[in-house]
This record gives sequence, structure tokens and C-alpha cells, in this order.
Amino acid sequence: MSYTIEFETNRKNTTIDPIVDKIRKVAQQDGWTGSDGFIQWAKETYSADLVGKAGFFSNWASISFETEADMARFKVDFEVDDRARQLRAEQKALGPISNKLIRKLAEQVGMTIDDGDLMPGETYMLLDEDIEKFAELIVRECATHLNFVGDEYAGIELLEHFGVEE
Amino acid sequence: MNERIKELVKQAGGHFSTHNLMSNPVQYRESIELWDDKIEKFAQLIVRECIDIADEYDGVGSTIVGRIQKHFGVEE
Repeated sequence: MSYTIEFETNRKNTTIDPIVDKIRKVAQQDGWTGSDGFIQWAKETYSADLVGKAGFFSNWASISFETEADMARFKVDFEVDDRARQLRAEQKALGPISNKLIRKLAEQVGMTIDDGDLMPGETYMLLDEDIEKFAELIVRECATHLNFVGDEYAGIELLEHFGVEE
Repeated sequence: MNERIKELVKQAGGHFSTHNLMSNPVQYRESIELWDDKIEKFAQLIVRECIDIADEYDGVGSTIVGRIQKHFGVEE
């Protein structure tokens, strides 16, 4: 059994974990250089395997320890905050749209996932008629609340205001 | 697209562009893109406008406003 810390990545699967920079810095201070040197540093210092992504050994994927005690020592030395990492993972899973209902509505109208070469954070988008459908869903949700309290006319006025058909 | 919704897309920072049609270069179509970092802002603008309309209804207005705010997680 091994104990592993997966490094944080962005949506394009490039490692962006600050721990990796710390590892490089500390290993270099200890006299190790290059990918092979960093792998050796992990073995000698923490009995750990520093694992690179296929073909890109400078793009580290994880570090695996033989024992829980080695991992615990590493976490202390490198100030690894498990809770903060978990929160960041949850935020990453949600994407830049943190409001779950708004995200659900955007997905409902077919929010496009673009894997192209975009600016950071610009991965999802709504286009043309999807924007209109998305707006309609929000207006309808609001109108439902207006009707719920018994004022149907208010709901109708809201739909008319946004040009949404009943 | 509904002009009011288009206006809110603009306010949220949507990207508008025009493309000439291949079949008839004199004609063009408007294309609108709304990136993920603007989608939430756009949704909030719509919800706030709904809240403004609900707020006009005395008596029940505050109840409706509270319900909509809670439902969408939009603060005052």
C-alpha cells in the first residue's frame, strides 16, 4: 500500500500545484538538479516516488510514499493544507460558476465546453440562442415564485417584461 | 434576441461580433458569446431585475423578493 498526494492541475491538466515549486526549490538547495535529481531527492529524503506525466517529467502528477509516517512528515515539512486543497478541488469541479443553480441552468441549455487555446478560466461559454434560453429559464424560475405567493398577474408581468412566452 | 436580454448580456460583459454571410457577403449575422466568468454575472442581473419587479408589489413583494433571493443565492 502506498500513500499518495496528487498534485493540483488546471483544466488543461497542467500541474499548477505550489508544492511542486517548493519541492524543486528544496531539492535544489539540497544539491539535486534536473528531473532525475528530483526523483532521487524524493527517494532519499522521503522514501517516495515522484511521478511525472507520460512524456513530461517536468510536469509532475503525484508523489507516493511507502508509509503514512513519511507522508505525514512531508506534509509538515511542506505545510500541506489538506482542507484548503479539498476546497480548491471542489471549486475546480464546479468551475468558475460557483452558484450551483445557475450552473445547472447553464448546463440545461447546453453550455459549451471549449477545449481550445483559451484565456485562463475561459473554458465554458454560452452562445447566441443558448443565452436567450438560459435567460428564459431564470425568468421562469422567478415567475414561479411570484405565482407561488398567489399573485399570478405579477408573474405574467415578469414574463412580458422579458418577452418570455407563457 | 430580446433587446432587454441583449442589454443585460452587454452589461455582464458578453462579447458581440458580426460575421458576413458566405452566401451573401452584403448580409451579416450577429454572434454573441458569454464566457463562464460572465455567465454568473448575467444571471445575477436578470434575477435582480426580477426582484425589482417583484418589489413593486406592496405587501407580498417582500416575501417574493426574499424567496427569489434565497432560491438563487443572490444577496441584496
